[in-house]
Amino acid sequence: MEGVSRPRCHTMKGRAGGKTGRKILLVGNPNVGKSVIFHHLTGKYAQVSNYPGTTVMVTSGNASFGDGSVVIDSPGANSLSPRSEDERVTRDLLLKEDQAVVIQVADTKNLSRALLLTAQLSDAGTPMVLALNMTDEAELKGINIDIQKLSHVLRVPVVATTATRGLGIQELQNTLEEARPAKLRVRFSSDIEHALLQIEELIPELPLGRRAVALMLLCGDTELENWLQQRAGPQAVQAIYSIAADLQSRNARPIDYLINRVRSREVQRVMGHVAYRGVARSNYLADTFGRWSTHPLAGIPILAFILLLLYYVVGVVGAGIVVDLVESVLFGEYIIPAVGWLFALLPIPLLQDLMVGEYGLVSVGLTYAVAIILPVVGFFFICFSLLEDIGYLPRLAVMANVVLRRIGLSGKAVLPLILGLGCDTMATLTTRTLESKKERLIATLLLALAVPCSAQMAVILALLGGISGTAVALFFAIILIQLLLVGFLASRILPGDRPDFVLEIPPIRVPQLSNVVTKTLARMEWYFKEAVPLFLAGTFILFVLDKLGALVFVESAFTPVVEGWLGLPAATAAAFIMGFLRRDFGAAGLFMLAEQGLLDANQILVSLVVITLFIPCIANLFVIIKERGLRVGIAIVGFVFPYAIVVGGLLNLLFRALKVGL
Amino acid sequence: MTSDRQVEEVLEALWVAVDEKRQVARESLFLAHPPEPLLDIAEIDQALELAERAGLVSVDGEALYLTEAGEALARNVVRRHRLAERLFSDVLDVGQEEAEVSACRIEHLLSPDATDSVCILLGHPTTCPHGKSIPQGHCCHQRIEEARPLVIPATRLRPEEDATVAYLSSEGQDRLSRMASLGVFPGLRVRLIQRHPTYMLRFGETTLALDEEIVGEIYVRRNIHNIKPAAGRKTLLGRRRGHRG
Repeated sequence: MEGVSRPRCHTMKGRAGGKTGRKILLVGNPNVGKSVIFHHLTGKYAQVSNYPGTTVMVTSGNASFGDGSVVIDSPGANSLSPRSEDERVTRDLLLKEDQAVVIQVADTKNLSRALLLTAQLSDAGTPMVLALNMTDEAELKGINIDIQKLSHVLRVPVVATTATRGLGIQELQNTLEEARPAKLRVRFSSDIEHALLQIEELIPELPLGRRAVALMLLCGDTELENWLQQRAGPQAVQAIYSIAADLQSRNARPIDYLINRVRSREVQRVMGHVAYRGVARSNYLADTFGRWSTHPLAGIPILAFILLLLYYVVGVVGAGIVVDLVESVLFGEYIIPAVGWLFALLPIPLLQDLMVGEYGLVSVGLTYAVAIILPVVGFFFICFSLLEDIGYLPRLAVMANVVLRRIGLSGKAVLPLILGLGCDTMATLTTRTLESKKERLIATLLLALAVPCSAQMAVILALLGGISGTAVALFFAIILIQLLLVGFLASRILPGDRPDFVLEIPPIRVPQLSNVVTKTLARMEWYFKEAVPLFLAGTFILFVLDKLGALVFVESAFTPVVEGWLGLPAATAAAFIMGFLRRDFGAAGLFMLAEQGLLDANQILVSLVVITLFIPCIANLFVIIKERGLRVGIAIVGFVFPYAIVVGGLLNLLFRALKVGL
Repeated sequence: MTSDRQVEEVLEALWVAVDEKRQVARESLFLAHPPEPLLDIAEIDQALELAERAGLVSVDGEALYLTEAGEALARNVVRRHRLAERLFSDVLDVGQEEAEVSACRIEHLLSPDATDSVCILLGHPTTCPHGKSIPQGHCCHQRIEEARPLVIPATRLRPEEDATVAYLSSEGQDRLSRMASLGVFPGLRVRLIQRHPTYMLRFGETTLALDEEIVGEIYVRRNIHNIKPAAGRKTLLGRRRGHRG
């Protein structure tokens, strides 16, 4: 499998191969309930979502029906000729797990789209079972599918399921034995068929239907090149690409469009035999809310209300009340003293320092990750999962697209940006789901620069709220202007096209507690696996820098800028340095300076602007480097820090020139 | 008459070959209409001779060139052919083959005025059903729209209006492929849900939010009864009807 981009899998290791157990692969269009079925089959949580594109990872688990089977959940795919990272992962899974039995999960309401995928699986010749999921919603819409007839036409078992209520799962398990290749092959126009035959002769024997691979190649799938080089040799690859190019040159439309068009006709024919439309009942309340939430006028107060609620739950309850409890009581009175006591037994001061010192792994790293960020992101994830389960998030993207398209992003980028209000480090990880390289880069940059995380937001509001409402408004106006300005410029300067915005809008649903809990837990797990180690690594580096005396050096080098250009007392330099370690610590440092009367209102605003525009924390920098590479990381650092200082300094000059005092 | 038709056929084949950057030779003219060539070798030679004498084509050994006059003429033939294809396949909804055959005949008959009328009727389409571009005419440059178009970009539907996808005019391969994987093809019934803040289309049980640019590339055939009331809105009409009753 060298060369084919490999699926990101975290839980697959160890179990793959080895055992005699068969593999069961869940495949389907986005947002059809694969992950819920996965949960029923394994008892494990996968990322369940009502927002297309949130399953970035591949999850697998042992089947709970105890025959040694392994169930693998794949990201949603509309096509096996990949157009997105998600589709690529799914396609690669099919190529790699060629012995697997496929359960294709379909949204019964959207059967024709599912059958388009079935036609592709049919070409691949993988044994499969079709699960018609969401039958409850289809029923409500008056859509009836003749299951027996469909099963007869496709020659595979078809099972009706309502996964959210666990209906049909048992039957699905029972029919797995009868899985076989679906019969939904279509004949394409003679020139395409001819090219297919030519290519099929050039590719070696495959467990997966050669026709399927030939089709992928004809559709211009260049990702397969390395994989093919190894199996068929460079000459065959050359020949295949010239066949594909020749065919394409004789057709003005992309080949996969032509191919899918023929498939679509066949699917419509099948649908004519098996689907019956009855009277649709609508969920009036849900539909009305859905319509209003994307209304150009009514959508805005709804958006404002939801953001306010989000702020209250995350900022006030999570970041305020719960953090206080966990940090000062649980960590302050029990854990840190306990660890300190434990290491006091070891007479090595350096080790003690490493654990509970000024930059200790427990006293700072773990406290930060668990006592401060965890409650905040935890509350944030609950809200986020709730909004996701309702189906609000895609509608938020619809509202945001107008603004975001001007700064080189598509509406989809609203997801990471909002997530950034919880934790920028986490949010940067989710920028993977964005489509183009340029969009991922702009989103990463804006998160680092101008999206304050919730840990810091509480301190910012406390500081500025103490001054005046005007100060709060001015602060957010300044930050928002930087976001729009830098985004606008970046979209102009960086190469690449603006990404297309194409997003499916699921129906508004009544949230289900079990779903929300599942999603929240899955995200928490993700946080622990991906983000916490970075917080610890960041703390460790600062510990080393501190021991080497580098921090003091940076601080003193920084002082002239702070005093001269920003017009702030020298002591704020330390707060800025701390701010890079822990954004909220930096802000808290400023809080203390303000309380001591060392900062006036103007200086508070200047210093908060600078610290907000700085890269949030060292963990965020690590994620940037991990996701975007070292070069981009350095470029972002090289831009963000000077930019923050320039903006702060200009603000300082402006205040002096206008002689305003807040 | 027959010789005129032959010359037009040859000019058209030459123009298409140049446009698609293919090699131009006598042989390729013969192959221009698979599977059955319209003209045999002798007819092609005859037509070329006529065209050369009329100053439409210059022959240099095996290589053939269109002169300026020949280019203009050929361009119009291609325009007529491709517009006719659109007319037959989108509006009259005959099969692709029937459309092709009919277009081949009508391309020699349409007057310039009639050609522009067809173009206006179809909303100045930019590509033929095969996706090849249609040379523009006067009416396209002036954006004349008096003949109320039946086929329009989906952006111009009214909110909540139903229509049928006639064709997709996307030039980008990625966009077309993407639409294809979502099941958006000619013949699909769609409804425009809203225009602001972002366009939303619904088909079957799928709702899609899309950039204006993409929606504008989806050409739809309106329902005739939706077109008549020029400035009508549902509520307005309903009230009017109520008064009468």
